[in-house]
Amino acid sequence: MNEKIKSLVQISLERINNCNSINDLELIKIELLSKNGSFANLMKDLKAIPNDQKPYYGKIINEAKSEVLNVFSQKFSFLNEQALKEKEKSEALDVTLSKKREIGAFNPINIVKKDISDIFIGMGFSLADGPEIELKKYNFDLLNIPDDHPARDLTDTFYITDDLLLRTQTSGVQIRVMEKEKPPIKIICPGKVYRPDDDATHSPMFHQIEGLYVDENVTLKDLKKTLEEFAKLFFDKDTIVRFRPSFFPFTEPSVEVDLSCRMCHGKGCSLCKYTGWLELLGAGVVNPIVLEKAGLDSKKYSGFAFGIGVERAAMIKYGIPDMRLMFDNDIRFIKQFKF
Amino acid sequence: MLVPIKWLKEYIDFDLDVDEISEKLIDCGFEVEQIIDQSKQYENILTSKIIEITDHPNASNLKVCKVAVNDGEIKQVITNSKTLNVGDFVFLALDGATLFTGLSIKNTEIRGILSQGMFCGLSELNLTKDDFDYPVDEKEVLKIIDRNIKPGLKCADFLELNDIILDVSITSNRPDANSILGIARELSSLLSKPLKKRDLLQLEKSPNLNYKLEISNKEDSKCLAYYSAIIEDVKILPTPKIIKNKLKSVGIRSINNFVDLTNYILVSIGQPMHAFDYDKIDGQQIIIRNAKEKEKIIALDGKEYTLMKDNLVIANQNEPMAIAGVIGGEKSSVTKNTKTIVLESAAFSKETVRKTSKTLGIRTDSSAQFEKGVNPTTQLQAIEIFLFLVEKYKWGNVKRNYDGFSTNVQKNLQIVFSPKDIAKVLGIYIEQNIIENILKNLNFEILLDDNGIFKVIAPQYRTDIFSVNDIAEEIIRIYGYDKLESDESTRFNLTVGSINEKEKCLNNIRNLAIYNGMHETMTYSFIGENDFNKINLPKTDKLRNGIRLSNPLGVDMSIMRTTLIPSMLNVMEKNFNRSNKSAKFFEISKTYEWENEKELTVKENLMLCLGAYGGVDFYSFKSIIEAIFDKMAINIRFKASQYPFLHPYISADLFIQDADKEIKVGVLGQINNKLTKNYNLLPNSFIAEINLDLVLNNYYGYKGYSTISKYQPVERDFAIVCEKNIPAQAIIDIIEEATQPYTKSINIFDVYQGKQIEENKKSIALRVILQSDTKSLSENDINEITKKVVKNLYEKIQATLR
Repeated sequence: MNEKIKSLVQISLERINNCNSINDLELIKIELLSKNGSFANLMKDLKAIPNDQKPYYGKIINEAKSEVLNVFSQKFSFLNEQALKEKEKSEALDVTLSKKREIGAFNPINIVKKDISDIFIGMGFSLADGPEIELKKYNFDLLNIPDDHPARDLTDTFYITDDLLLRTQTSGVQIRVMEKEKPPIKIICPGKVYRPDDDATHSPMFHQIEGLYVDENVTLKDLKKTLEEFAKLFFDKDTIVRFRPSFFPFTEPSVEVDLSCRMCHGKGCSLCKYTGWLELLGAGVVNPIVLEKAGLDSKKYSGFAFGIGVERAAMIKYGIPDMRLMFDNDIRFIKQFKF
Repeated sequence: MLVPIKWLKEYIDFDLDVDEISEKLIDCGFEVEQIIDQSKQYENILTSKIIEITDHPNASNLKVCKVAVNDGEIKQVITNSKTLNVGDFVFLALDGATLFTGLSIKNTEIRGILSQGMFCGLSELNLTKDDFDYPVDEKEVLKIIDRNIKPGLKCADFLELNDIILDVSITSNRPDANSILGIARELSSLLSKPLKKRDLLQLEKSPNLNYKLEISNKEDSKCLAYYSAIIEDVKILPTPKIIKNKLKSVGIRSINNFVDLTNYILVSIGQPMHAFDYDKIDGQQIIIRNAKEKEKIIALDGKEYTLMKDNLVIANQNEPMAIAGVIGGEKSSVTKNTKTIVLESAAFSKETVRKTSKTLGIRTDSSAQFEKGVNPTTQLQAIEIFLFLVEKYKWGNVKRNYDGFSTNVQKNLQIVFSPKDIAKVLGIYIEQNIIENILKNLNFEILLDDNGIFKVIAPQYRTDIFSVNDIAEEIIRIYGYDKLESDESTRFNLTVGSINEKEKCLNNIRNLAIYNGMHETMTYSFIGENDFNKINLPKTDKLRNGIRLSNPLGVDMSIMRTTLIPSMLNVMEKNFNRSNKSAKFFEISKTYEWENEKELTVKENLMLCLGAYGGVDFYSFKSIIEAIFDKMAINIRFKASQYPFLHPYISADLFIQDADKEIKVGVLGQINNKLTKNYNLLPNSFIAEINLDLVLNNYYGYKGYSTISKYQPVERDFAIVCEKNIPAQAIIDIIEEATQPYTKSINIFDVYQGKQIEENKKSIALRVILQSDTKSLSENDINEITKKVVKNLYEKIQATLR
């Protein structure tokens, strides 16, 4: 009997070991371990064994059976594992292939417009809006621009009628806001403006961001501080701000504001035309005459205002050589501006 | 304005180099746009002496010259000139020189023989015959005849065209700085150095006894000052080199001594002058008056001008002799036969000169200067300098008298302030003595009392100082903007920055557009009549009633756009033409329309325009719009519509639902087939335009959280057959109505026409999801609802279950 058991275990293990398919293994398992399987038959053989030895052999058969069962289950997991691996292998993808989903892109002008607006919003300015088709009154008269100022010429301003025009600057919004609101007024107004120029650095339509801060005791120094903070955020923290005296009828004192070149930090490079400085905006202390014209008491209130050229800022930020590219709308150009 | 350093030094001494001077000017508000080195134009051009001339062995019309340059260095030059002799001095352009004709000189072989340069003629050196006091052949090599000539002198030095010139930009509030004197005056304040005294001839106001001349002014407000003096026995001659070269350095060509001298005075002190021939002044009368209607004058440019009534003229008894401040008349002008000159030095108002110059289309150096503003106090000084130079050069007989007048010139306003007032503008406190010094150097009259209160008056030539702010600017521009350092006291009032709901929505839309593959365009706000034609708009369409510019850059940019569609189509066409095979675009910009043309009120509408071609169909295009509105939580509906620019059967109006009404906010569709004739575009191109103002005005924001039902949803599929032309939306509406209040979603997942379906009919499969917020729907509930759906579908659109 012992021999029989041993030989069955041996044959079983051999068959299991040699089997390489789950289906075959299932068949073997049925053949060996089912009700009518080889081990069951062994049990039947026990009938011929003397009774006193039955428990002994019964135990041995059960041990042998559980050993075989154990090997079966190991072999099953092994084969399952292998089968899964095969399946996975057959599912292999070339991960370097792509099914691209196209994402669009913003116009660089609008990206920079938003960047700049966000910086000033962070400094406590609020967005304001004004009409692009503007009354002469707001675009010129109330901004203290003299009647004979060349900016009013047909060569410098698009007119619809004598009194209605395309705004040449966003500064008119200053007046509109001051007429309506009481200080503190702290606004920025990004928008389109128009002038009859068309060349590499001028477009008949372009964008400005106007800033205005009116309150008690606002000074030129506050303007400089504000623009210094802006410059650090717009370029980087080492950016230096330079004021140069200038003239705008609606501010007094007036300044041109240069930022140290973001490429060379003042050493001189092609971006800044070897001056070390980038001219980015005009600014100044709001002319008291303008405050009065807008109905504010210039003895009590003072303010500063600035106007940033958005296209110029975008050209500097992205190194765009010709302003007209931004209005050309070639998708290969726009695609480049993700942020 | 061009400021040659040598000329500047006639007015002020300084030992700063050019870069330092230009930095000083920039710091105090005069931007130096360019520094021009005049001698650079003559680089590598030297004087040379011809020491040998032989025939060219390979060319009968050429000569080979040996020329001495410096230190006995010999150069070989091949020339075709026949007029040169051994011993002649000529200008030799060597390797590296670039001539005024644009020619670059290089060592080169001509017919096998080396030529190391080229002999220059007049045009190559930007010279004229008049630059020489001996006869010169304009077409030949220029010979130098001069006592001090030797080989090897730099051309620029020999010609004395070796100045450094600053190109200074002058802001419009500082007409007083528009002259060499003006710039010198600024430097004098900056450097605390006095101006040099100019030589002039002291005159007294008295009539010239030999020559009768009466001056009368009919237009006090237009002519603020008018002075004249008489020069007898004038000699019209070439101008001395010293003046001629100065004029050349600021780009003015020499004409004759008198014309040049007026130009010299103009640049020097900013006073335009004019000269008349005394013998041509009819009636010996100078009358400053408005032109008569249609009065004519032939000007110095040889053209006849018809004047208008408000053009100011300088007339004699009978007719205009000059257009005041703009240009002289030919008839009264100085010629080589002139014996007696009447010199005019006047101040005309900038408004009148500007208007006249503009309406007649004449722009001269004189009119340009008057437009900027000529102070009515410099006229006499100009005559005094002029006469001094005439006498010095013996160009005529000068009497020490003049005639003329100036209207009463008011002193500048007195401005009262304390250093504290200045600090209120600047934000930094500047000491009293510094303020005093700065203003003193700027030639202000200053009264300072014991309490530190300033009473100041700006010098007469400054016309831009009215207020404390103006004074503050004067102080800080000299004191230095770099001293505006922020310190602890720099105060930022606490304000909260914000963007409005509208802006938030726009940012949302823009983000969604780009996540859907759209690219943001930036197109001009103006379009042309032809754009309307190209999008097939009927002549009567109200979109054609755009606001028109009176001075557009061109007809195609003459109307403020009433729709963004033409701009979008142009962008699509341009990209298609450039082989960009597929593209999706969007733009958010305004359109413009009259609200009330008489009252000049305008409505500006914020529009969203979308356009796409290549790899896109109507439904995928529409889905982008649906996604955008879904993100904003706005319910929208589409209804078939027809527009001249869209495909009549692939176009829709877009509505948003506001309370109980529907508001039309936009259109979308495939482009009309006719448009493919006007634009190079694929027929499968799509456009949409949506009025965002209408959308945003009816946008109440996200409504917030609503409970998620915990009861089981139930799905029911329907397959129905109905008339082909019934829109899906109608079926959805019927089912929605029938399934209220349990409708969660209705989704059409199949539309079929063809076999097994009657002609003119279609089969539609849809899935309805029903769910109650308050209970589990029973089998009975569902059956009731299903019955109602089937009944309504049949009653309303005769649809049957398949």
